[in-house]
This record gives sequence, structure tokens and C-alpha cells, in this order.
Amino acid sequence: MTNGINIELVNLTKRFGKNEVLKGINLIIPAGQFVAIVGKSGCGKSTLLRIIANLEQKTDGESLKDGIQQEDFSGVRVMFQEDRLLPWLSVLENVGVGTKLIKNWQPLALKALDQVGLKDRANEWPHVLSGGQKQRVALARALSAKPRLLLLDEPLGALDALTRLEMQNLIEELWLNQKYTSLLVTHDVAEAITLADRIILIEDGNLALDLPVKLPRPRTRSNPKFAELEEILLQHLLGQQNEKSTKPKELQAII
Amino acid sequence: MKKKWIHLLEPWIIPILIVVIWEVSNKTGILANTILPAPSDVVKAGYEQAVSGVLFEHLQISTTRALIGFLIGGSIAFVIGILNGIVPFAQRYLDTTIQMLRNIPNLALIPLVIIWFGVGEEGKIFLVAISVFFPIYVNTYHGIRNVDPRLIEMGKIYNLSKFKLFFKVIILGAMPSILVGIRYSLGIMWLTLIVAETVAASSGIGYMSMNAREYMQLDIVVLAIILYAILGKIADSIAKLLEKKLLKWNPVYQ
Repeated sequence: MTNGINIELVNLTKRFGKNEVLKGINLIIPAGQFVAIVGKSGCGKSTLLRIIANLEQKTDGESLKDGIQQEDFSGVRVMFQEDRLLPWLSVLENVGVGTKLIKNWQPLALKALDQVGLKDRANEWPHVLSGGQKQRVALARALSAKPRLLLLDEPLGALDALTRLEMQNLIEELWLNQKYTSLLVTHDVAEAITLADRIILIEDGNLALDLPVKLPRPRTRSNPKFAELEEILLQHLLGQQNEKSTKPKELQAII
Repeated sequence: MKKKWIHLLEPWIIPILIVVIWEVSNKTGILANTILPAPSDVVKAGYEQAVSGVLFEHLQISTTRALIGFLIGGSIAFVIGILNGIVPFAQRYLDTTIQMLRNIPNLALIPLVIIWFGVGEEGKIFLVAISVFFPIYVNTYHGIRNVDPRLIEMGKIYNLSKFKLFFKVIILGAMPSILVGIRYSLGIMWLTLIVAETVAASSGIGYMSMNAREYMQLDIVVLAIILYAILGKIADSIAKLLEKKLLKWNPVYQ
């Protein structure tokens, strides 16, 4: 049913010089799950994602995909906060980059572009598109090669509120269709609840909270459970400011 | 439609005006023929030289020198620029040396070049090659160094082959800068050639001009100057055309 990659992090540690950014993260993400990682800026959530993507070297511990330590990027696609489209290639060829531009990439790229509703813009330059459209092209590029793991590093952070909602729907819809493993780093709690099966909260380089989200999809804010979850997460995020290390454990016990 | 015509005409109004004033001052005697010949005399000289075939001979010789020198110097510069742009090891060894040599005015080499090559073809080609080397090298190198590293990271994580990463991301990304180098070097190319031909040559437009000076044929001297202006403009137009074609993705060039 799922062709996703399962991820296993064992005591994953990352230090930049003396600064310990990740302090021994243990986490198992089963194949096909949609996990959101939330946390305040600088908490190490993006670093965690970059280590899983092999864009960053870990200092210690293990980061396993399907039980092995992978060195390359096969099956893994990343979407960044910036669209990272190549301005000198057409929209279609940009999507084709996802399929490495090897033989017969056009039909695949066109199909991916169709999925994000931009088929008719295939031959234009990226600079004529709006910010949201560019991110949709970037999403098409990420999906054109049928990834088994999609890593999303705050891909909607720079978009306006309305476009964000549209993109969230699109991301959910495509994930439901293709069932890859999905890891979303975000600082937007509502976005995490809308999309994820499970929310991980990182705090000072530690895994502070692991919260399953069992709301029926598509999720709406009008659901009281939604508000409840949002409340828990927000309180936790804001509460950190006063009581740094005591609260996480209490909350973990409740959940 | 009518507006477009005016726009096309606008850049030419002042040059035409200057030529008209020049011609009139000559014919009325305000400007002596021995100081500056009238435009009509220059045209006449050009016509005579063209009919006799001498003009085209010189033109062809000069153009050939310019192009051969440009190709040699430009391609070496391009290759070294790319090498230094992507291989840090090569950059550490080569860049400082090149930057040092860059500061030598290339025309200071003329005495040396005359001793080495005499007044033959090699000397001129050598000078042109040296002069186009630096602008192309510097701009290629910087173009490659300034390609957004986030795009290169993207290319890597999307498993693009080394070949595709090089052409689709790095070279195309450096293209605006490379073209600036080409455009700049085309100007330098003519400049160097003119000086080299006036100092040490037995053919070419520069020689034609120096030779005419000996006989006080001012019309031919002015003709040579105008030819240089035209050749320079043609080279620049070609560079502009290249920019328009290769950078059409960039809103600045549309």
C-alpha cells in the first residue's frame, strides 16, 4: 500500500563546534506516515531534516532509511523554503530536473506539472510565475520522480495565508494519492495539525513531544479537537520561555 | 507604429548632425582640409580604396587577426576560468598569478613582442589573445563562483549527473557574467589590434592608416578611424545579440 521509506534515528547527535544542536534524538517513522516537526526557530528542526536528507553530516548516532545508512539521495526529495527553480530553464524543464533530465523525461514532467495544475504554464520562464505557483512547480519537481520520502523544509513559509491553505490542500492530496513518507518542518502549528499523522516537537535539540493526530481528513479548524491540539502545542511552545526543562516531561506523560 | 520609427531614428540624429556640420565647415573653409578632410572626401577615399581592392585586403587581414587572437585567448581564458571556478585546488595555484599578470598593461608588451615575433602575424595575434584573456577569465571565474550555491545543492540532491549539473546549473548560471566578459573583451580586442597594427605591421587597417600619414593622406587616416568605429560597433552588436538569445530567461534582457 505504501512505497515509502521508513526512518529510524538512533541517538542522533549534531554539534557545530561546541554548540550541540541535536542532543541524541531517537525516533522511528514508519513508511508512509506524514510527520510534522515543529519547534521554535533555532531549535534544530531544520538541521534534523538536513541530516535525514544527507545534506548535513551527523556528529554521532544513526540515521537509517529502511534499516540502512544511505549515502546518496535516491528515493529522497526535498522541498525548500525557497523554490530553488533554475531561472534559465522553462517550467517544464525545471520539473524535469526531478527526473534527472534523462531519457523521456518530458511525459513524466508534464504529468507532475498537471498534478499541481500548471500544465498550461509548461513553456514559460519561472520568473513570470507568482510565488505560490513557483512553489507548486517545485512540488511538481519533487514529485516527478515518484519519491519514497518527501522532506519539506518550511516550503510554505514565504507564501501568503491564502496561498498557504491552497498549497496545504495540494500537499495533502498528493500525499494521500502516492503514500510516500513525508516529513514536514514548520513553525506553523495549525499547518502541522492540518497535514500530519503525528507531530514531533523539538526543543533545545531534544525530542520534547510526540503527538499523534487522529482527526479525520480533510481537517478543518472548526473541529474542536483541532483547537484542543493547537492549544496543547502552542502552550508548550510558549511555555518553554519560562520553565525551560521541567514542562516537557510532564506533558509527555499526559500524552 | 509611427512612434517606433521615431525611436529607431532618435539615436542617429546627433551623429548625422555632426557630420552635416563637419561637411559644411569644410566646404565653407572654416575647417581646413589639412586638419580634417570633409566627410565627402573620406567617403570618396573609401570608395577608391574599395574599388582598387586594397581596402578589403586590409580589412580581411585585420579581421582575421582579431578573430584568431580572440578565439585563442578567449578559449584558454574560458577553460581556465571554469577550472578555477569549480576546482579549488586549481584556483589556489593559478588565480593569484593570473591576477598579477592582469595588471600589466598588455600594450607594454609591444617592444618585447616586436623582438620576439618581428612584424609578422604571430605578434599581433599574441597581443590580441593576451588582451582578451583577462576579461573573459575574470568574468567566467566570477560567474561560476557566484552561481547560487542553493541551486547547486538542489541539483545534487536531485541526483543530476555531474555533466547535467555542470551544464544546466553551473554554466547556464554563469552565462550572464560570461557574456559580459565576451562583450568587454571584444572592445579590448580591437583596441589592442589597432595599436599593434599602427606600431608594427606591414598590412591591416592600422598599417593603412600609418602609411597614409606618411603621405599626408588625411582622408585615409580618417577612413581608418571610422572603419574601427564600425568594426567595434559590429562586434558589440554581435555580443548584444548573443545576450538577447542566451539570456532570454532573464527579464532584464527581454
